[in-house]
Amino acid sequence: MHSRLLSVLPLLIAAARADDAKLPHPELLPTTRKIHELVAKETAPAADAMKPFSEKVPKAADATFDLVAVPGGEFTIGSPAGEAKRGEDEGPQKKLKIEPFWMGKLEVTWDLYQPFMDNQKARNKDGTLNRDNNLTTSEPPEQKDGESLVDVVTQPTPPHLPMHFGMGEGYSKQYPAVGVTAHAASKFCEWLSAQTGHFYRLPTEAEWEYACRAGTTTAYNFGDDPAKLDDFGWSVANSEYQYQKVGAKKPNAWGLYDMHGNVAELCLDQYLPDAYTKAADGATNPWVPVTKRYPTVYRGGSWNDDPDKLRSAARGKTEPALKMIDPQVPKSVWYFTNASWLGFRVIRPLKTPSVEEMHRYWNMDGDSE
Amino acid sequence: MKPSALDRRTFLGVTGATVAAAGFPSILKGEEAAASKQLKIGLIGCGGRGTGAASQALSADPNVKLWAMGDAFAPAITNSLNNLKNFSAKVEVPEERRFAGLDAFQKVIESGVDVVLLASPPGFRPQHLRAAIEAGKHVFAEKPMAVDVAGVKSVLESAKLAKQKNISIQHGFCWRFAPGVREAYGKITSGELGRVCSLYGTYFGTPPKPLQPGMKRPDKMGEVEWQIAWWNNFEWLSGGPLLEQAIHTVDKIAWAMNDVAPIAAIANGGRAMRTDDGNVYDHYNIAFEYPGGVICHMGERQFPGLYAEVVDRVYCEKGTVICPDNPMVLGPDGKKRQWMYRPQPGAEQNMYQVCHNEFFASLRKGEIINKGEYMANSTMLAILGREAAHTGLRVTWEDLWKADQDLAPDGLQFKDTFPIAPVPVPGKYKLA
Repeated sequence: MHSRLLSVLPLLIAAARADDAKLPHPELLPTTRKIHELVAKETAPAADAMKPFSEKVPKAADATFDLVAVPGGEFTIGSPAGEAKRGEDEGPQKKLKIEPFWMGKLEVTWDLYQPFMDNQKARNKDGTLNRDNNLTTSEPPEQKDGESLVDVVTQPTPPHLPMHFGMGEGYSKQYPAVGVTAHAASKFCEWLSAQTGHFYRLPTEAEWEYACRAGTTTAYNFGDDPAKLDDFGWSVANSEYQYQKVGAKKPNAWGLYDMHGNVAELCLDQYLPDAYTKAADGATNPWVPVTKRYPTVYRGGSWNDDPDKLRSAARGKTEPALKMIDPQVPKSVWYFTNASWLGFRVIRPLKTPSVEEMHRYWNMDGDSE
Repeated sequence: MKPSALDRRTFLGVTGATVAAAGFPSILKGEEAAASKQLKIGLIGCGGRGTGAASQALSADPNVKLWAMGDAFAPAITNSLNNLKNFSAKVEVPEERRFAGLDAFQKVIESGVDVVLLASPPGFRPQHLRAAIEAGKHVFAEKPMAVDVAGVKSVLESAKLAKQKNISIQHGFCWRFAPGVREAYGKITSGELGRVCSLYGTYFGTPPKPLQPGMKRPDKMGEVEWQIAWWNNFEWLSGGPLLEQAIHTVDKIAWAMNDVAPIAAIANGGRAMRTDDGNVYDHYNIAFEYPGGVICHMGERQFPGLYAEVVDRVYCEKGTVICPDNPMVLGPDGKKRQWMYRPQPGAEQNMYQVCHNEFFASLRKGEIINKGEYMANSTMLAILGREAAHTGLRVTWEDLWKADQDLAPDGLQFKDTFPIAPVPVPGKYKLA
């Protein structure tokens, strides 16, 4: 994968190959290594033998979630210049190649996320286990008696307030997990991987749009007419100002639900307004790694957005104001206290990445605001 | 319901309006023009919330300076300073104005500051408030104001003293500054929705900094030092989860009832899930009895991994107010939405910031905000609920004020022996 990434950010990636210590959070590398060993035990199927499957999550009381097989292929990212309500940052369109992956059929729901968030362990602010009475210092990720590999994955400190913001029916499997930072979502993926033996991560922006379009080139994956959105998505026009049960609308052609609306979905990439200008035509799996905490990309629009923000090509970006009402300084790296409309979806790439790549995917918080 | 004969103050014998506003001028009046003086700020309690309060104070006014900092633990000061770097020249706290230890508050107060921010664990609040007011400093105080009856009484005296000295006391009951919640509660307190018939408020969450089961004090640490490091888990420092956290819901009950005095409370509570060495309950259910046959009911719990919500439901004659997230008014049928607060996109306001903006704006105008009495009363209301649960008795507001409960002496030192008080057992536990 390194060679392909070169097309996006050559300097950064070359440096990472040269020196592991330049990886983000090198102190957490032993945990990544152990998870990598676990994942490598299973042989991946051939691309044409990928099947949808259901994953069981032991640490979430054996809750399950369904994954859809997304075949590899080519597509055109961005929107044509003539698309109504198009943003400047949606072009120029580029042709890209995407390798196969499985993607969550639904947005990640609270029954999966709450056990990760309410992990019932004393944790430092950075999510490592607290062994020294001081919440501001981190301790090495060692497994001690009674602790599993899953426990030593860095995990959120408890939320200040219930993070469903009074929407829906509390933390429920019917509703998407929201108010989660990209860092927290990535750590959730690590937590999932450590207990399932399958590598999970957030989708890149390119993977997300490829999956959303499911072969279409129109403004939405059901055509160009926003009037039909009622059948496929939740926006401010029909959501009653709150998130809705996942999977209640029609799926796209590949069987993915709520790609338009309900909650916007976090992606792996740093947001660059000119990302597509910089992307090489024909690149495979492009990705802009995060080096700064803001802005990063989210996609799909939400219950709180006008319908045009739900278009397949529409791009959103995170900003510090998403943590506005966090009462503490430094503000928690785990919560977007002002983003009751922002959730995420996980993917499992067919090809297992190297330890270093895996580590980079899961340690995406950037070191500056 | 208007504050009249039912006003709590008449029960307390603290007649704020008649206290002579004599004596000391405000530090912002007189020869120094209020609008131009640089205000020096002292931060007492440099944890995450204290640092948050400092950043809000520094953002609230162009001509302020963070001048001194104090915390029980020295590293907290360094961390806090590090996190306030963005304010550059507004932060001027050299080594000699960084004070560590349990007497740090006094040194901050004496360091030449005009305003202090009190953000230490609540058990210390009455002592810190008293020292600040006596020294003539304007105060922002985080909630709650105290953890016991003696503390509340001390806070009331300090509030009275502040009135005499023209000193401001601003509070951290933050929801009273949230624009949407203010609008919603305004519909209750103005009488627009008719009489309050009943209320059900919840604060169902998770323990914020849980002491782990089996976790013991390290040999090197003093008893008091260890308890302060884990202050949320000890009654004498935090007041328990009802005081420390769910007091927001308690305060909104007081607000919905127009800050009138309650009659009594009956309650249950206990430790259903906790097995650690601390002594705080993890759940309470309380019925506050108010004049006019109004029962305000609230549930508090810190149960990890389970159902969670923080919702106030205020049932009024002409509609039900739902707060604090997405403030709205439902019709008398309990379903149809009559009103909902929608901030303009990009115009959301941070309630913590609004609090400090109003505080500093009033100081600049030479106006005195003194919310000390109601801050004390809202704290006392939480103690009423807690003590009803701990004793298993119906505790009246009047009797509570006669109690002399004091959970810890002032002046404890890190190395002192201070055994953890037993978890209260209803029927055995007595309200002192």
